[in-house]
Amino acid sequence: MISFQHVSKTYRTVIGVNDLDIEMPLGSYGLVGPNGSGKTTLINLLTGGLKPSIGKVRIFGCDPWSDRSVLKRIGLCPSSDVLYANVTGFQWVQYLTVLSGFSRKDAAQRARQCLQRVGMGDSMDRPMGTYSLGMRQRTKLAQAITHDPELLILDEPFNGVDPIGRFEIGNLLKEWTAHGRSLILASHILHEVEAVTKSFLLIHAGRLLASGKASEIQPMLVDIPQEVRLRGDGLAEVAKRIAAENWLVSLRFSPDRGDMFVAVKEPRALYRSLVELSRVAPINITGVHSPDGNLTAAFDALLKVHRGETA
Amino acid sequence: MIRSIFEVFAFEVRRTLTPGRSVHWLALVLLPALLLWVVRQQSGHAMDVIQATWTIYFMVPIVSCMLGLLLWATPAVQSEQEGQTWIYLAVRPHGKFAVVLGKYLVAIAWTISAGLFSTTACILASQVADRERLWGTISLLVILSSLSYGALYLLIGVLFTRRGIVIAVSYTLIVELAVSLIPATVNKLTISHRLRTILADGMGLEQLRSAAGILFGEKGALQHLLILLAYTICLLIAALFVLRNKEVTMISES
Repeated sequence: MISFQHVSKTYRTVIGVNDLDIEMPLGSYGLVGPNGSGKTTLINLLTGGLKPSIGKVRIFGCDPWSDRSVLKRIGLCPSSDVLYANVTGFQWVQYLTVLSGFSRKDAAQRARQCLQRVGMGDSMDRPMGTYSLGMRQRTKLAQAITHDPELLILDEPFNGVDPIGRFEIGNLLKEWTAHGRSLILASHILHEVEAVTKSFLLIHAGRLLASGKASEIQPMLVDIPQEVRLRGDGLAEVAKRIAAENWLVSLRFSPDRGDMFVAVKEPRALYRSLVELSRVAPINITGVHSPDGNLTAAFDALLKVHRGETA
Repeated sequence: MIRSIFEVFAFEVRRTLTPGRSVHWLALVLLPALLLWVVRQQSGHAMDVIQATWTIYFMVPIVSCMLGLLLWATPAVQSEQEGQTWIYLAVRPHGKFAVVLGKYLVAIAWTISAGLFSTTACILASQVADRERLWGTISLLVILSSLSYGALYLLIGVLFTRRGIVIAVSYTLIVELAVSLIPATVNKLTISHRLRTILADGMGLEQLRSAAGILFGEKGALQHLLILLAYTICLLIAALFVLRNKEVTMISES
């Protein structure tokens, strides 16, 4: 069980997380929020790196700040890069495994196995200074799983990883959860998290905005006001024809008039109108950019709903 | 815990075996001896015992050891924080304590080895009489200086993870080099006062002691040695206590 009981964390005058009150059973969760939303603060609270200013944090029934033994059960892959340039990936992972309580011999065996598992088998004996960003991310993942933790916490694990690497790491994480082990995957990119887990915690400005399954959250994002960007020919004609629609909130053009930004209450109604318009009017829409994958916009919209600024 | 400390020690020793750090070690070993050799060449005869004692004492257990420890013990936490590696260590059950104690061991091993080689080189370069006694006394002082200054700088580095070296240098100049020479009781609070007293006892500098008694402690090197060891243990415990209650996280937060 992971429990945040009315937890707030402040850095002098800055609020890191604000009155988080969550109880969740161990399982697989995506921690989603824009950069600066408080994801890393929440992870630091969970791993005992930070002490809550107010409230209590419990993980496996223990306070991670005062009971450090609970850290044996957690594996953390932070977002920060590794800068031991003259140390090999194998030496580094072995070193951290010994610090997790294993003998050097066991640690060496575990380090080799985990590095091979993340696709670093051929490069583990090279100095980390020669690694690409993607290789460093894989090595970071290896050190997080080498002591076989019950809960794996990853903070932006796909940063800098090429598409093949993303696919492989995604598969590894799916395999991890398929074995019944717990996972918290923090990211600001919704679809990356969605590929691994279906349960989300949406965090913004240190507050928990929404939580639940992806299937519960996506309809919320679709039905709330959003700004859609259109590109193509005949945009002025589109503007003229939708101007009177009651679902339209606002409309503006980019300075070069190549793009049109349409804020709508019901994006689905706009998409229907575009299809109908393309049949009857001389328009040629070449691009429609909706904020479905843009969490910042979605969170802004959710916040507006929370503040009661929109219906 | 013990295994973790020695693992940190072994890991850090491997990391230190770089050309740059080896040159730094060699410089600490050879520079004092080179200076003594130049002085002896210019005077044309062997140095007398008192002159050699004070020169070697100032250059090796004080300056060399302090310089080595400032660069090794003070940034124990800061270097991991700047390298963004602290978080990986801190999420291990005994990670924080193992790292600072392991790095402390590396700092004192590095400084003591440089200090002992430097002492030997200095005594050979000065051609002084009573070499065995001088070597024994200065070597003891190198060990005590490394242990106690290492613990002091480690505590300063844990307390001030941002500007630790600047604060440690300021503290050394003000307290250990200036206050320790003030002829008042306050100088007893400094490490260098104890080291100086052990030096006077070890080398039998009775004339100096009677001329400037307040600059030296009471007779009995063992008492001062035990005080320094107790001081070292207290400083290390204080460093661990501060670290236990200090929030040291990644530099970039999201």
